[in-house]
Amino acid sequence: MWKKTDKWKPGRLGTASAGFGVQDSGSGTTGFAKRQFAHREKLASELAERVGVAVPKVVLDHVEGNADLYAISQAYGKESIDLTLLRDRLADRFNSAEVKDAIKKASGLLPFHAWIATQDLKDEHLVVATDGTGAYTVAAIDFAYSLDLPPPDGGPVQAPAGPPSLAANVDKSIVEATVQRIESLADDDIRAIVQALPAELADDNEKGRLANGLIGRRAKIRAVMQNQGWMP
Amino acid sequence: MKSSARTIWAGIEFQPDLQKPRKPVRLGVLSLTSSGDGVLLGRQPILDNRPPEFQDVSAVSLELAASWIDSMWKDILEARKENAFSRLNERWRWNLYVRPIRGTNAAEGSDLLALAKQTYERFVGEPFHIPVRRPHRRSHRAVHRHRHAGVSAHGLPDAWLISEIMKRSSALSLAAGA
Repeated sequence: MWKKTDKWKPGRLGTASAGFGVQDSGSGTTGFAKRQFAHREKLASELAERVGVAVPKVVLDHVEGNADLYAISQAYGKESIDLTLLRDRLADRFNSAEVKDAIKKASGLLPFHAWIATQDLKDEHLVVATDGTGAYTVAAIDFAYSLDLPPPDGGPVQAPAGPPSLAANVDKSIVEATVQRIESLADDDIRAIVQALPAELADDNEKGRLANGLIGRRAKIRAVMQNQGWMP
Repeated sequence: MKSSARTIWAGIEFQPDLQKPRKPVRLGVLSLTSSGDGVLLGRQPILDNRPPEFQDVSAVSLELAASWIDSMWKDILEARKENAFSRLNERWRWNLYVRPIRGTNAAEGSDLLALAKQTYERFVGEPFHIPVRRPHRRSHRAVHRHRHAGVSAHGLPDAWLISEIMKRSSALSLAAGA
């Protein structure tokens, strides 16, 4: 059972996707629970896992005392920090080779954001887990403003306008590998991932729009990445 | 500094493990009044001789914790007309964070610094005391004060740096240069 907790304070006041910290009473695992746009958070996490880009695991579940389903985004690393705070308060560390390398290794997020049409792209939505021995890893969070894919085929694909740190540290080979993984996802795989969303979060029409949009956009990403100079 | 305005109290904590939370390390207290006065009291781990509570944390977390007082103070000053407490809540939302403290009521005219020290003792569990060295101390009427000293127990090398920052609302630009 997920319960509200004050052991983690990931919530941001005054934002559209505001949520609150929760902890699973059985496992002790912590997460950030959001009700609004829960299906987008879940779908982004599932798709990210399938194409090998870092997005914290999201589970859909109830929180004690609430009847609604929440998207619970689990903490990324035992220690983590967003890139904005890191840049502003530990500039030397932000500019270190280790952090730059971690950002480059997250370059696959660029074609991923293009694919699912993420809109709210800023460094605050990049989290670096720091608990390794200097081997940091960067993940993307907050997909409240994504997957707004117009029918029938998801519309044109645009290059993501950020996050700034990601766009400034591109590893082209990682972008290319991610594009290939997205392109190789079969229609049935995409439909199955979308279909797994609970009906109370997405009805058949919504699922159809999402699946058709993702399938339609899948083959348009490569040209956009090439135009940006983000692929070899 | 006498308090005659609505006061918000907050505690600053460090959670060593976000995935499997442990008992947080309590680092300090913050008091902000609606008239713009503020007091920030806290302890920071010393990088070269980290205290036991920080033995297993990464270099990034340790560095952040070793400078959190000045860092948060900058955020408070940069908040300007924005709600400083909200700004801190939005920015500090990872291992090091701010949480409200309830039940600390300042009677009109009470000394905010003295209250902050009492609150620190209750929250952190040890008295707030800056020993001997007071290199930056100004007169009691000073609009801004920032002082600190390393402390240790039982003759061991310093493991914590104890710091105190306070300001009056009229001293915003002065405080920013501290």
